Amino acid sequence: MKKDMSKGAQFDAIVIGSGITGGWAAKELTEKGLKVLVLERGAKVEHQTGYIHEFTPPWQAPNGGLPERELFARDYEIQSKIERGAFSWANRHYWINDRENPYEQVKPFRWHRTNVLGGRSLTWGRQSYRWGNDDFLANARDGHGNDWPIRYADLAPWYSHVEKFIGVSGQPEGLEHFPDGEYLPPMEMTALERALKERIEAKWRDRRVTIGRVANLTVEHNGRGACQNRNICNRGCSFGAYFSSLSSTLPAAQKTGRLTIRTDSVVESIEVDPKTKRATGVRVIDAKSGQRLTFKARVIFLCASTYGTLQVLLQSRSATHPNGIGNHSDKLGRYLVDHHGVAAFGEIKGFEDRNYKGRRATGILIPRFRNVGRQDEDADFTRGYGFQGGAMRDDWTNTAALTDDFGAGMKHNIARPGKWVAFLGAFGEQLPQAHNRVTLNDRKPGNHGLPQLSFDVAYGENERKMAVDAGRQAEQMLKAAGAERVQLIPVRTMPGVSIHEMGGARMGHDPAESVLNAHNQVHGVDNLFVTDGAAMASAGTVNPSLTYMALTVRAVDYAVAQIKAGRI
Amino acid sequence: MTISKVQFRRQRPAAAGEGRVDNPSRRDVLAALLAGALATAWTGSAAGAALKAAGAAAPARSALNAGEMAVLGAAAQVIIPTTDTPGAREAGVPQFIGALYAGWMTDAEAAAFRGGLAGLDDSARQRWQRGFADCTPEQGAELLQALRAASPYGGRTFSLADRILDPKAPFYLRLRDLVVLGYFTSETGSNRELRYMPVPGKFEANVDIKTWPYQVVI
Ligand SMILES: Cc1cc2nc3c(=O)[nH]c(=O)nc-3n(C[C@H](O)[C@H](O)[C@H](O)COP(=O)(O)OP(=O)(O)OC[C@H]3O[C@@H](n4cnc5c(N)ncnc54)[C@H](O)[C@@H]3O)c2cc1C
Ligand code: SF4
Repeated sequence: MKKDMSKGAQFDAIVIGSGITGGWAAKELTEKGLKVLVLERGAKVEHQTGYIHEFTPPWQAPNGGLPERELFARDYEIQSKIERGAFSWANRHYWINDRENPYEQVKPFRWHRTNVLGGRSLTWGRQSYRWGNDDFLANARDGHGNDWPIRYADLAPWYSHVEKFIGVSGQPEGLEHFPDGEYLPPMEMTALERALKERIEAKWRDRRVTIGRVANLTVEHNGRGACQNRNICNRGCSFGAYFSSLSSTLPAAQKTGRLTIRTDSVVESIEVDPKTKRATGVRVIDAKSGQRLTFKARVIFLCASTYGTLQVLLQSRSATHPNGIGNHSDKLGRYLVDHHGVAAFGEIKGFEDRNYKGRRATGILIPRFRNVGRQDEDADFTRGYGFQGGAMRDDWTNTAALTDDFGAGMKHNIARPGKWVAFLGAFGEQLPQAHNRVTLNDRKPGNHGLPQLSFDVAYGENERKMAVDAGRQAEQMLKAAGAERVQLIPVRTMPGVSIHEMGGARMGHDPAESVLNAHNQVHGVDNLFVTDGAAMASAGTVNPSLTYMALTVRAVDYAVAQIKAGRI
Repeated sequence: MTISKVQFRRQRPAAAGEGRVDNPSRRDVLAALLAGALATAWTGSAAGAALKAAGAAAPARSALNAGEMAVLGAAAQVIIPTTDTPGAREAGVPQFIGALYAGWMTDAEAAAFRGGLAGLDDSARQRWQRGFADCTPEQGAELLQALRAASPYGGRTFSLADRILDPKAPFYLRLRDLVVLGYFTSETGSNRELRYMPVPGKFEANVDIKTWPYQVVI
């Protein structure tokens, strides 16, 4: 079977990676009539049966859900440090084994990644926002980074295409710099969130508090079940109520009869014909047997997640591309950006008689209000940030940690809904800078003997100043909403922890300044497309994955048109 | 390949006074691993079993003995007594902690915990001339109160799990926090004190606390 696939079967297209972007590439390419091979490094996970702990109750969690320290320290040293809740006993099997997959940290860096079919579409937070025109104009306006070769209008129809399929619940707001999309009914706000909204909007006319736009279905949609408000999505969801490759895009591709998936297939490099300058094939290491294989196709979509993609491009060294594909002017691996931030929380009294039932799978959002369209006079930093947060009653784990009390009273107090706590966490835009980069370290072999990826990334002065401002604004808003002792806590202070990695193969008009053109095509290698976060030329202030999806479907549409026209 | 769901069951509370801590879940998982059903499914005890198979130092310590389990059971019951809902003992908390002792705590933590139980028992003999397990709930509470006062905690108390993981937490706090954790994650605590709702269905955003004074947990 394996032999047949490498020798006999011919594919029209190869998609590398089966995560959020790879799933979309597979769906669109197969639906447009192409025979597609998806290559996924990780193990196979089946929708529904593969979600082994989806229904495991708390009393069956190993060790009461406490971390398995020995195992985590040994095999999940990086992954287990991900922000609260995202990595747990219930979904550990989705995450990569850090011991077997080392990388170099010139400066401290957390690389959070999965190693299964579906990628991080299984574990993501599903917050889904469009970028606004300001976001695509920022680089041109202030000169940091290169100009984006596209504008919001280029992506708007593709955003719609994606939203209609994945299903995003949300509230349209009619704001120019924070575009609305195609939404299913929004999730509801808690009593305190409603008060936050009223109080903040009354005091600041340019601020809006809205419900988080999230790829969870508030109603049945495209044959997938409605969200049951369990909020344990990152274990997997048999209802298919949140968007993942496994619940949505891969089944759609499968339905065409033109999809082949090969898991345990670690892509090493992409071959380029020196004469035609075309990508001709993909070199793969079978993760189980160690066997090396090559697969050929007419067009290749590289969707291995930002750093995974950069690694493959850097590893694709040949006489024509001695420093990796797209690295003719040393731009590949540079201008990495992400979100940095700070969080604030405070207790707010007066809602003791209100409660809620169920567990909502989103929070609230305050879109960017700083330096919108122009530089605010009182801002000592460039660009801006948005907030995501929420207002909930403390749960028993927090209430229990507030005291060391024992006895009947303690038992009763912990079981009751706790105090109301509101919190806001900033997502700040990191400036694109050439020195924030990844390279290959050939002296350090990693998994399968491939060179380790080396991270040399740090936040700068602008990020620091912006975080100070964000902290101050968050504190003022919480106080205006009635919070008493507002506390600031550092979050997203170490590069990598936000998991919104972007850049490294940025889009641009000028091949000397960028790796990809306006259609995510590698400059000079016309049949190779990169459509994940590596393509991003800046970071914006909202979660990026919806934009990667829109870029992917747009690039597929272009690629197929080019194939039909005989140009690639 | 189908990956079967492996069910983990916390042990049923052992018969009164019985201190045997057997670990059926580990056996189940080992069997499942051998049967090849769990190719990629890492589960708690599976990890322990696999670590052991891989030659790593797996904790191989003898369980708490019957006397120690009796002290633990009595103390747990003082920390979470029976009220209109069951207490820690009925919820199986002593067995839960016994299993953590045998398979999860580090050697240093286990030694400190065992020492703490012995100390509690000693203080009962001094103060009330009987073992802790034979004290009345009031007598036990007085001893725990004294221990609490004598065991200040200097660390941050940000989350229950963080505190349980803090090597500087004194015995009193370790005991108290593990009892709380064990109780509120037990089948009894999850269903009778908290409201375990595996599939809530709806999110009701704003309800009167009088009609719904519960926390919904998973
Ligand atoms: C806890 C968490 C919360 C998040 N929340 C949000 C959110 O709310 N909103 C948002 O927009 N984003 C969020 N993200 C980010 C989001 O998950 C990523 O942006 C998104 O998954 C990127 O899609 P991708 O296709 O580029 O990569 P992935 O989804 O990571 O998929 C990449 C795939 O490629 C495979 N691969 C890598 N290298 C190779 C290789 N050499 N050969 C073969 N296969 C390879 C990987 O195994 C993986 O399956 C979150 C991420 C995490 C971890
Ligand atoms: S909250 Fe909704 S999407 Fe998440 S696991 Fe439950 S049903 Fe699925």
